[in-house]
Amino acid sequence: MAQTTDQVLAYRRMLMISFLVGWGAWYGFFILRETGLQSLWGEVVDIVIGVFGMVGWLVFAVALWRIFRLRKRYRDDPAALAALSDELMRSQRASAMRVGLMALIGFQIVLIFVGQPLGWNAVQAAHASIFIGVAAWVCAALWLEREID
Amino acid sequence: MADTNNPLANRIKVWRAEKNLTQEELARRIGVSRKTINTIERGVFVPSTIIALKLAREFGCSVEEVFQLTD
Repeated sequence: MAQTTDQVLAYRRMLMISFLVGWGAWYGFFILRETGLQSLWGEVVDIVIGVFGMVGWLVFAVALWRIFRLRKRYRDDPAALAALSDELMRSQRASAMRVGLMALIGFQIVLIFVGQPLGWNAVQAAHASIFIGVAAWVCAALWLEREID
Repeated sequence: MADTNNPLANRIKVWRAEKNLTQEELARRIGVSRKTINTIERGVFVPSTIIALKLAREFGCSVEEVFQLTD
């Protein structure tokens, strides 16, 4: 194995941050447009935000492609793959998914009260719920995987 | 910093020193990440029986010589 497990984990963490930032920018701005919140500002700001969204999509796509490539690289090395997905990491991943699910359910409850006043329909509410759930999941994964010495 | 609520104490650091192994080397030998060894050593993460047995086998001792209940 050319890289140590620590180096691969640091690289994977960087990819996760890129994924979160890129996806967050792209999907976040998409939701802003979907929910009509862009009417709160002018056309120039709208264009700037649109550009940020597109850059976000690019960052997200590259990060996703690199994540798949990383997985492919270690597919033929079971020992390295096992070390990269050992029981601590599986446990942290499960905890992060729980956080994401709780955030999604919590947001659904909030939506019961604020969804109608905001004038959101079911599709817009679904997009916002997915955004909150996935963002909470990835943030929790990054938080749990941080290095404390 | 060790987790004070953890009912499991361990002597991994002592055994590592005795066997002259770094966390990275030990991790590679038992097929986990260095971070896993680090968190077990500090009492933050309680490992499965399989990892406990692998550690004991690596150190050439019994599991009780590596892990002890604190109560």
